[in-house]
Amino acid sequence: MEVNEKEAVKEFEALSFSIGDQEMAFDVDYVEQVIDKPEITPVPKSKPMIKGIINLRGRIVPIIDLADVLGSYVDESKYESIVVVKYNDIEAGFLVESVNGVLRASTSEVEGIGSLEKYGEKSKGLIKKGNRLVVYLEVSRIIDEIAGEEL
Amino acid sequence: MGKKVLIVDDAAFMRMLLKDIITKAGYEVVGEASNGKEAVEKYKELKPDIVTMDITMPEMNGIEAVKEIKKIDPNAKIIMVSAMGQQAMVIEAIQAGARDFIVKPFQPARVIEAIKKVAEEG
Amino acid sequence: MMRDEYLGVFIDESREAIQRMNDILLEVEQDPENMEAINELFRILHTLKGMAGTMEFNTMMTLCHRMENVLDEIRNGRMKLTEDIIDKLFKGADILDQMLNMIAEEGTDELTDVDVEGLIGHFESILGQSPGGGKASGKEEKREESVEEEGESKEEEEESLPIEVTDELIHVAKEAEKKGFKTYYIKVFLKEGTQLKAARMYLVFHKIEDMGGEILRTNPSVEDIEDEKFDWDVDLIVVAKQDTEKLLKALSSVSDVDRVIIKEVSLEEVKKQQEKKEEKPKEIETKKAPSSSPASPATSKDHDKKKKKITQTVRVDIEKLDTLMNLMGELVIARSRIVETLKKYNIKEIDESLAQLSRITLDLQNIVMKIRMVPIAYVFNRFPRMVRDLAKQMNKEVNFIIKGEDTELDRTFVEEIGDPILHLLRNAIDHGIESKEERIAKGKPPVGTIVLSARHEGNNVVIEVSDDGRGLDREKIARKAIERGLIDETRAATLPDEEIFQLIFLPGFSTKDQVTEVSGRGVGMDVVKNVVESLKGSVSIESQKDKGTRVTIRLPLTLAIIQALLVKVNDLVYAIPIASIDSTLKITKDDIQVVQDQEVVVIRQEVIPIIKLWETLQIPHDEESESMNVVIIRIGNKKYGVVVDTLIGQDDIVIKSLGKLFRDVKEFSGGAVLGDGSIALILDVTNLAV
Repeated sequence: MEVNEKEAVKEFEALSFSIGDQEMAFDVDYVEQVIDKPEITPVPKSKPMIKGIINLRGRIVPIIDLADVLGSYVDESKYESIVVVKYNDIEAGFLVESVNGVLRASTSEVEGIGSLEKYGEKSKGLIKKGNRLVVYLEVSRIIDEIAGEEL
Repeated sequence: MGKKVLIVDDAAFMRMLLKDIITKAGYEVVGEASNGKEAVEKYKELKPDIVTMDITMPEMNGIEAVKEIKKIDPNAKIIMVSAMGQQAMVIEAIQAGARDFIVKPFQPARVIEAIKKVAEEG
Repeated sequence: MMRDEYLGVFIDESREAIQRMNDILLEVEQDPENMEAINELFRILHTLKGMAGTMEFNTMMTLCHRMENVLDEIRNGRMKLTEDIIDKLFKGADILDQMLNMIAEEGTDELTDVDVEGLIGHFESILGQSPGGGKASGKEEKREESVEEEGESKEEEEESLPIEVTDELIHVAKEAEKKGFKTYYIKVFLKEGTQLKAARMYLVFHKIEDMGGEILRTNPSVEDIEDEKFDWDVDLIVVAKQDTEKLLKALSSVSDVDRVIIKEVSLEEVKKQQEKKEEKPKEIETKKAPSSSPASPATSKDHDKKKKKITQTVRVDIEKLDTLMNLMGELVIARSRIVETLKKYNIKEIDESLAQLSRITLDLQNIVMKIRMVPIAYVFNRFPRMVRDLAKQMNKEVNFIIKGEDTELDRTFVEEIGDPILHLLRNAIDHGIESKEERIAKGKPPVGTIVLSARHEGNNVVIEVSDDGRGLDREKIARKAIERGLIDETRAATLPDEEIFQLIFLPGFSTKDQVTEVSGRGVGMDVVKNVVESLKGSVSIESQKDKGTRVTIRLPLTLAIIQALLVKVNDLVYAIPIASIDSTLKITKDDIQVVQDQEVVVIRQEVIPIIKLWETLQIPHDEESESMNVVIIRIGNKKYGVVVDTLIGQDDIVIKSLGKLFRDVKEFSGGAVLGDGSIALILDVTNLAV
């Protein structure tokens, strides 16, 4: 590989999942584990996108409705799995319909944010893999937004 | 290799530092003591090959401890850990039978050199 | 290079050292002749210096070094410990503390707004006045170069020795040679920059003597060597049985020895040559290397006679403890689950093992709990110094007594409880203790007494701050309360003292007309109360005119595991800390009355406001049934009732934080995992009431 090419193009891995017919992905670095959706205990008076908390091996983890965060709606009964991520000491689970697996892509396959204006900084762009179009989400940004909303 | 080392210092910080340096060099730190009295007890109990001994400590200082340990084991190999300005005490420790000394603040290489040399001696 | 890795320990341990310094300085201030204490101060600074040096915090090292020098002069009787020096040492301790904070925050010991150089300079000028203070300037003593040495060169070494050979020397050597010894001229070069070179050279001598050799002469003299009056090399005349090669090997192995020149010589020959040259080199003191040199007065007896308890400790990251606590919680839950499951089958054989498991879990839980406990001394330690400074500032004379500093409490309290206690102490000094004149006029001892104590009482830690000052002024408090509209005149006249005094815990209450520098710093008694209550504790005050005031803080032993009442609303379980529950009762719909838009119940003539939990939490709920369960909460003097669907029962729960995403939810203080794996939200009863 040429040196200058190496600088420009990076390989990365992302965990791909589906929400409301849309394929999306998180950077694998943030992902701790994927679990089946357990019983969720609602927390009254918390933010609307937070569906409640679960007991994850003795830890209390908040569960977030990603569709709500991204400004769309998915019926809660359709969610089957939870992708647990950790960023900046905050552990959180995101409800997803199904997990598709790890996607290997290179930055050359990511198209800029221009086409995804509705997600703003919550997305890093669109991964184009053959005929698949995957929304590449920025976990840190999403969590910061939820955590910082009260401020 | 694998010689057993006892670290004596009243500062946990210094013990931690020494322990890391010594362990990384492939020696085994079998115990730590925070004063001379404890050092003597630990020496009896653990029979280390080498002791690093701080000088200024509560309960019993390093020089007294060298003397006590030497009574138990005349062949004990003790390296004094001294600060600048403790010349007279280091000399006293050497008279009491300390084999070498290192001066704080020390370089890891310097510590290992001293231990290696003392370990190689008969 | 190794800084980051050790920074935490360095900071922790330095903090402890500085704390200890402050304590001892207070002792020394009372008794400047206390040599033990001065020795310990010296030792602490010495250790700090070493640590700072290792971490390459050079300013901190220098400051420690100067303070150490001053103390060394004092303990050797060359200087007197004056009040000025004590003040400067206090100042030094403060600056060291600030440096540590700076190090913790910015990674540097360079303070921007503090004149560290000035203080260092001050210590240096103190040292300059001492007869033995010359060396304290920290500069290496420069050896005076002698003419003879300058004339030295390799060639000359070959021919004549830089040591005067006397007849006596020849005689001794000859005697030795008869016994199979050989005579050597040895020149030892230390590496340039070798530290403690005298001791290093001494190690060389020791090596020779260890091998059975004997040092007949040295140049410079042994005394000069001990005083470091040489550059990096020393000449020796030695007799030994070993051959050149063996000696060379042995001496080269001494650390910091750069190189060694060894030559077998005939002293007679040397003498002849020397006489031929008619060179009378310098006068050399002829002295054998002493087998026992006198120890300097500073060295020998500085052990600390103070008997301190030797406890072995391990430093553990608090996060690891929290993890351990979590796992412990899981274990407790898993055990309950097993017990539940097995209940269905009623297997006799397993009962005993199960009972044992329960016992072990309980023991384990207790131990984990204990690990989290630290002596309250961690909190109390800093107060003697603060009280001293405050009293000085306020021109009050105070005898400050601490009791029960060994009392243990949960680690989590340590950070939180310090400020409230400090506020109480400030109040005691500022408002409580009268001026000396006033006390004498009242026939009280001229010096006031403040006692800070801690003890265990059941499942509580009780902390008390009491003083023998003027006591609370009932009239003044009542007047202020009326002014503020907190109470009306008639009530003020009828309320017992105790309840009047409680008024000072209300927000914004301050009776001191004149805001003093000491207690006018924002935190009022209401803040004290808030902090204590946020720790699930309570605070109360007792006072008697001219006798004094006593403030009592009660805290639970730990925050991590609490007893809670589990209640249910709809299908969800909530936990209410038992500590804040007054009672529970069943009421019917008809018992609820409405007073000023507020639903209340009247219990034994007491009007208690009630809230319905589902309304407060804004969750949908069916029509209320005829009879309802009410949990009466008590916070300080206030009571209110919480209506729930069902009372489940009492349980030990492990409190877990809900995390940052729920920071905006004030109704819950955490969550707890129950025996069946489900989660109960823990109600924060201080934030529920209307």
